[in-house]
Amino acid sequence: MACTFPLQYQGWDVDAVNTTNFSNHPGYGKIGGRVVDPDEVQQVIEGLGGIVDVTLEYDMVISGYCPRPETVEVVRKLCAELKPLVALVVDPVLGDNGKLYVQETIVPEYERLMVECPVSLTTPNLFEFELLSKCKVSSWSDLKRAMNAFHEKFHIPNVVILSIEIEGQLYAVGALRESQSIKQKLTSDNSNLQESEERDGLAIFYFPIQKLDCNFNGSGDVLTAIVSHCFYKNGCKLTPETLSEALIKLEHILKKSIQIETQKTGKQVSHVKDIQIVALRAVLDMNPTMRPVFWVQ
Amino acid sequence: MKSVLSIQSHVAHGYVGGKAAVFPLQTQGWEVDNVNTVNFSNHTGYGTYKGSAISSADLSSIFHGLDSIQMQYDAVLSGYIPNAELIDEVSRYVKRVKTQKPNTIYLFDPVMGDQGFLYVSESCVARYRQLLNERIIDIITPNQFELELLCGFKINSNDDLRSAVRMLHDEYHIKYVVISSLEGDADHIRCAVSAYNDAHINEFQIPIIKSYFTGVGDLFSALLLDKFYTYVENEDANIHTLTAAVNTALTITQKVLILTHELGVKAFKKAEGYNIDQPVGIINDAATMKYFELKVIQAKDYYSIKDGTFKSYSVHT
Repeated sequence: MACTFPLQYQGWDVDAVNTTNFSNHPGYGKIGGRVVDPDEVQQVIEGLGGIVDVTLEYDMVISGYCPRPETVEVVRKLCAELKPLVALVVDPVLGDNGKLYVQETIVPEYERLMVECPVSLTTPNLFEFELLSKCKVSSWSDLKRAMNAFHEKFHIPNVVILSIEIEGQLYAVGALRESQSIKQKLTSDNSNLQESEERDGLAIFYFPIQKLDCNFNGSGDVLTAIVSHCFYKNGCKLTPETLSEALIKLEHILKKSIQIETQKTGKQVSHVKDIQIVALRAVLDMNPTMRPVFWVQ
Repeated sequence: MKSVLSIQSHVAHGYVGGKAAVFPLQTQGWEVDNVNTVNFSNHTGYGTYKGSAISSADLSSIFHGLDSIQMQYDAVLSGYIPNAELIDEVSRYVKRVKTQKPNTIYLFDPVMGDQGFLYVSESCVARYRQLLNERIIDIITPNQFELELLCGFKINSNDDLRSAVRMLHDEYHIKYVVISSLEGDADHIRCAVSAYNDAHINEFQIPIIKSYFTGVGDLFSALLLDKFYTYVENEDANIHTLTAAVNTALTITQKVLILTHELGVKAFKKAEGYNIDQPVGIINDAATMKYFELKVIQAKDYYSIKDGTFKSYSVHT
């Protein structure tokens, strides 16, 4: 739900296949409802196949939380068949802040999905990125090594990591490795980008971001929705402009969500259970000025 | 922020049930908690679909989950509920919601069928009548067929209409009654509006667009809730404001249908390479149906329209 509304608001017809059916998210401590049986997820996808060509129908396919290894398998089977025109975005939802929140057996399932399917963009958080690249990141050289390992393994051309802390400062990071054919399509107004790439084929850029002393539920889903839209709008190329726009919008939404929660409770908040994406929908219409970008040398 | 619990069907593809109701509400600033009564790939009008209805145990578990985090709502909206057990669960939960917060307003759309076809199990009819007896409904939006099922007689005249509407007000204590579609002349459908404390029934005559649309009732009910809620909140709910809210909801719905038809015809021509005289969605035909799914997303800017453009008439007897 955190992903559907921002996409719809930005003009997307969203065919939402549910992987869980809960009363609320686990951040509340109590929960009703249950995981949607992977067989049923499969059924719904088969049903779609009965009315449209699922390999070609969609401009973009986005995969988020999959609670069971079998759910990931169902998603993998669908995504493996997607035609090259379809942009596939995978948010490998595994955990955060050093903790897995899925069964361990899901990790290899995700690895297989990301190896076998034509993923255009992936949006892991730092924990997920470290888990998948099998590298710890605490410096720029670590990041470079990890990103190389990640690319070596998954060959995903565009990667976004929302927050990485290096020497006490938080950064949002984008990485792109353009294949020869895509490289040729780069236009002259991307000269900055072209230069960086031609140096080593893998370009990593970053924006310093402000640390918000607050935990959010669903911020990853909102980020994925906003980044995916900006990415698609930009011809399925991740550029500093794309990430900057998504980042500014997300920051607005998160900061104002803290404000709303503070006003409601009358005290300092350290946990926002519900991002106010509906109340703050106007942020999605913003046309923000780009922030200065830095490149990893 | 206004909050609403929306209890509806879910389809992955297309716009009926929750897919037709939730987004318009969100664009108007409603925080929507969405509970799905079914989880289907697409609506049944395509002739094929997959997925299943929720079990009553799962629905009950979700409602208990909402209880345990002490959710309160400004409004509840319910639509398609496929069987009697699920109606019981919904009825019990809405009662609890209204106990928690007595001024929660409940808009109940007794989705059972249309034009003589029942698309829920037969047992729903009796169970819906029981739900009416619970005195939890503030606004009801049946179509003619559903009104006839609930009241137990056919509507062949304005007198019949008046008796049916009075029955909902007097026997079931429902304050506001909107009959979303009644048979009119060959080119129009009628929509009737009544409030418990006023003897007049108002009606609108809406030009028919010759096509097969689905989810129209779900969209209309959601829009009506949004438009009427403002008056309820300001303690200004009466036949005049209800009629104004219905007018706005009808005006927006009609604009969505016109947009859907226009875009549908265009997409059909582009994809199929030819223009048939009147390409319309044909039931059980996936090939044409898919072009005429309500353009709920593309119509985003309509939902904030405040004034209706239809003329209301007093129903004569």
